[in-house]
Amino acid sequence: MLGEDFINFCLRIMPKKKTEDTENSWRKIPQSRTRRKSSPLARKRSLRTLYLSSLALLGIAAVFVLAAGGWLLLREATRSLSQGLQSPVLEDEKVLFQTDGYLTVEWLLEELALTGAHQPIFSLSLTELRERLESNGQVDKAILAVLPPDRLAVRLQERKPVLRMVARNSDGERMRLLVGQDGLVYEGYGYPLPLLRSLPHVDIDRVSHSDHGFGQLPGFPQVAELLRIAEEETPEMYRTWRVVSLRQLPKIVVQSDNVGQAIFPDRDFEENVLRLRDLVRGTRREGYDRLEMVDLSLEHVPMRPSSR
Amino acid sequence: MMSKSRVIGGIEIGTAKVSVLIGETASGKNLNLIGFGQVASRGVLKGTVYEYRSVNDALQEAVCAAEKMAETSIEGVYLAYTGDHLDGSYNEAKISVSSPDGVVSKKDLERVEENAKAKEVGKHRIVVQSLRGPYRLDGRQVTQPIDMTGNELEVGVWKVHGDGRRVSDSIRLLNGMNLGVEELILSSIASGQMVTKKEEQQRGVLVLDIGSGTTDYALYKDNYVVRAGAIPVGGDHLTNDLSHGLSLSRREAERVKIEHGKALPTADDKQTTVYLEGGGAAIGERSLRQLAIAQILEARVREIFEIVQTTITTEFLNKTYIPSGVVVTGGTSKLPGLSELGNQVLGVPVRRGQNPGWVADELKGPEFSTMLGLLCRGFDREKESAGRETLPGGGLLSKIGNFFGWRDL
Repeated sequence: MLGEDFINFCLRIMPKKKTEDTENSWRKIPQSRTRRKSSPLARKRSLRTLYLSSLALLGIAAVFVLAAGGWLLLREATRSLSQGLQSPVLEDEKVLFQTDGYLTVEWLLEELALTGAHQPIFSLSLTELRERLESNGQVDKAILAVLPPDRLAVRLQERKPVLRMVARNSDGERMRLLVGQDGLVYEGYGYPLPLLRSLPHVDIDRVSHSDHGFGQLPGFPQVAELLRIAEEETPEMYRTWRVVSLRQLPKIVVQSDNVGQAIFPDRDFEENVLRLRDLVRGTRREGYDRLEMVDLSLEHVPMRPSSR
Repeated sequence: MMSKSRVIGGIEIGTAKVSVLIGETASGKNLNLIGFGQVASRGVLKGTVYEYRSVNDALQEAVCAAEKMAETSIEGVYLAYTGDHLDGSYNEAKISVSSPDGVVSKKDLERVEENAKAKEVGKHRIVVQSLRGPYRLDGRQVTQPIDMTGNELEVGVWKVHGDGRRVSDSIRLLNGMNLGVEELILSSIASGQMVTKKEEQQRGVLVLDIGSGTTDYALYKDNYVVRAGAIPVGGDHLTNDLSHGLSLSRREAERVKIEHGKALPTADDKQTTVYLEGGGAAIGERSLRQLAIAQILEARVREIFEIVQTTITTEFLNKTYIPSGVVVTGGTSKLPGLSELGNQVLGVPVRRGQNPGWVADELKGPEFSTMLGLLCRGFDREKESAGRETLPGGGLLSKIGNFFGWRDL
């Protein structure tokens, strides 16, 4: 039976001889068509159909893209949220850290007490973290942001130290402290030694305390302004400044390698810095190594040169 | 699944007019008539193309008009064919059933049909349409003999053939407009499908499509077309006769034929006068006698029926063979009294054909029967191919078969 079926199948699929092939039918006349111009209306209709089809296709594509986009966004958001909720902020690679100073990401993690904490990133209070960072004297301003799904971005603006000091705490321990441009005293972290050595010391009776550390020194920002001008206008002379005393405020007394005491008034810093430079140069020209004392707050500066 | 829409056109290049009817089929499920164009024919004589360029121009005009109305282009053409060069020949074949147990197979059918068609039609002649009659198995008439038992299988084929060059000219005309001819159909068969019912075709009926140049006929029996062809006389001869007999121009004669023509004179005609301009007895107005008009037309119509009688022969043209009588269609069939005269001459009932009820009013006239029939044939073909496509396994297999040149798997 299988054989018969197979034969029938073969008979069916074999090319059938058309009965008309045996006769001289009109179908044997070759029909060669040349291109015929469609009627204007037919062309118009074709164009309209093409236009509408294209519009429909574009519409479908737009809907598809929107739907797919929405779905992807939703999926990404869900994934981010779940990842954000589950991932701890532990690794430094998950913290984007940027600063204009010398603090490091290790310092940041330790300062924020995040190292080793299994804390979901979405549970962090950025305000609290910012306040904690800004309570550190070295940090002038902090900006924090959560980057979904599981990253924390921190950007710091650090204080620039203008003076340094050595103090003793209540326990009598020696502390190396720095003074910022705004007069705030803070414990410095990560500064290179050459930078620290280049800073003059500050001479003051005592340093006040605030809630989170030390307070601000008096006489600022005038002191910072004097130092800035001296550094910019007479960098060579500034490098010889060793101590800035605030004991006679509002007068600022500077001790340097060449001058025992240079007394600055709380104004006209640029003019007085240049006067001091000229005085030091004049003193050298006259064969003296050092000026004992110069009071720049007076119109006619009294000078007491040291011995030749 | 989207329905496959196809725009097909029925085209008739007649002696008096070139007509184009456009239809749109959707997966062979329905047929919508969407465009129609008709222009006066030029360069056609007795259904045959004589001036290629004139016909080409007229055809272009008609196709453009129809496509403009349809607002689309024709994809495939069903062309009505007639002409004074057409002739018919009948041939029968008989074979012994190949199977030892006498069961008729499909192969037997193909073989007997091939044998019946094998008769040469003559040099430079080409077959326009082959019309197979019913099978006979051991003398019994059977519609579908496959799986029936018998010894001898017979079939008869009526072949309508024409001058190869003239047929080729008609096809080239359409090819020149980038239109492919999907099927050539005799005008009488196309119109016959519209004006006769299945029951009439079963019982026996003769369709006469009296056009301008030719009178096409199709004889139906047992739902088969057993004879078909064209006689080179038609409505134009009536116009010519009026023109000669009444010394009228062809245009005047045509108008007189349409407005005052009748195929059988009546008693009133002797006293009735018709005026050429239709304005009454005005000065210079030419008058014609109604009786003269009727007598001229009667003579020619009678002659047409007599030629039909001679052509078809009384073997077929009798009440026994065609109990449903004769159905006349075509533009000339509108001539009053034509049916009565036909009845007198042919001795069988003659009635004027009418298109089916579903046809729109503007296409109801007998002059549209042929084009409607063409589109119906096209629709049937689309339906068949749609049916084939939906047959189980007919999709991919069929396509593969077509790729390798196999047909009708």
